[in-house]
Amino acid sequence: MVIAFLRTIILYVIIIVGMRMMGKRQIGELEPSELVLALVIADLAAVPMQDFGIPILFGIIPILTLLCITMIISVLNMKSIRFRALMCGCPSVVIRNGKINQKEMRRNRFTIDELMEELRMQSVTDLSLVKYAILETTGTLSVLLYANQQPVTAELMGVGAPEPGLPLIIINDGRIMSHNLESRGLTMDWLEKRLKERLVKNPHDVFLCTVDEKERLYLALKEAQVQA
Amino acid sequence: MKWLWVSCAILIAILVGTMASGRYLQSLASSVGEQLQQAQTLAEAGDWSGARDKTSAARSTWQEKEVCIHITLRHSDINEVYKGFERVEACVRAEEYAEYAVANAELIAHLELINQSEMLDIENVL
Repeated sequence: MVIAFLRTIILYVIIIVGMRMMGKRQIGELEPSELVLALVIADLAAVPMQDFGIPILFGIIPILTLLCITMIISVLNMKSIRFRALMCGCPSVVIRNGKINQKEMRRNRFTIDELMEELRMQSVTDLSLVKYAILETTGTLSVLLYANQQPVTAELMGVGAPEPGLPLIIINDGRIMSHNLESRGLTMDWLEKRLKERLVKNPHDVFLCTVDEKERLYLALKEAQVQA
Repeated sequence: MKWLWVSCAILIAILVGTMASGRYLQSLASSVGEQLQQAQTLAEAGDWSGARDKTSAARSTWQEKEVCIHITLRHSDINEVYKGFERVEACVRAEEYAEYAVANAELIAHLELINQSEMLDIENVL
């Protein structure tokens, strides 16, 4: 049994390192080649984990080979548009100016039910409101409404909206993120002063504290502190 | 581009490593097979002591590479080889030529199969 334990750890570490090397996109949006990789690796890892009669190399070598091939394909995808089109396909415009492109639908074997489902998921029920609907290479549908159907923005209304910028976490579960504090150009004295203003004696009592570029503070105390 | 070259280098290393491992196993299986063949020739001539020594030498040659064999071969294949050695050695001790010849031929055939399974040819690839 200890062999199963050790083999599982070895294979798990190899897969995690490999997946991390593939990049963050691997986790969320899978291209066809990446989907194949994920499915095959899972199967390859499972066999030597369970069957002690098979050397672990019989699992590691195919996994390493697949990861290397995928890495090569990823780099070539970045370098060559033609190669990318060959490996991942091209986005298809399935609705143009409110009209369904049936040829593209057939080519992608995308049914009308799937199209309507995707549109409903994006809160669109009327096809005539859609300027473009594009079936992306990942299989998701991007919907662009006509300009007069787009949500009203502050710019369209001629209203100036302040830009708060990205809030940074300053206190994370009682721990002060000093590098975030420094990158915002703030000091520990500033933080202590602000906490005192909010009647917080100790940063350890804070669950979350963020500061935006306008130095506006968001503070959430730990539940025990709130109850007290 | 760095990752492209790193990946290519790893792929080439795997290819070279697997080919080298295959060659090594082939040469080991051939060498053990030859020793067993020589043992049979001696047994045929009635030199059972010589046949026993040759068979033991063949087993030692196989056992010396045990770690490498366990890393690169299916364990069921390795067990079959050991079972074959046990049977051949028992026959040599009993000095039963007919039975020995069958057991020895089976062991040599099994080693030959291992040898063939590591060959880089179209049959194995497909």
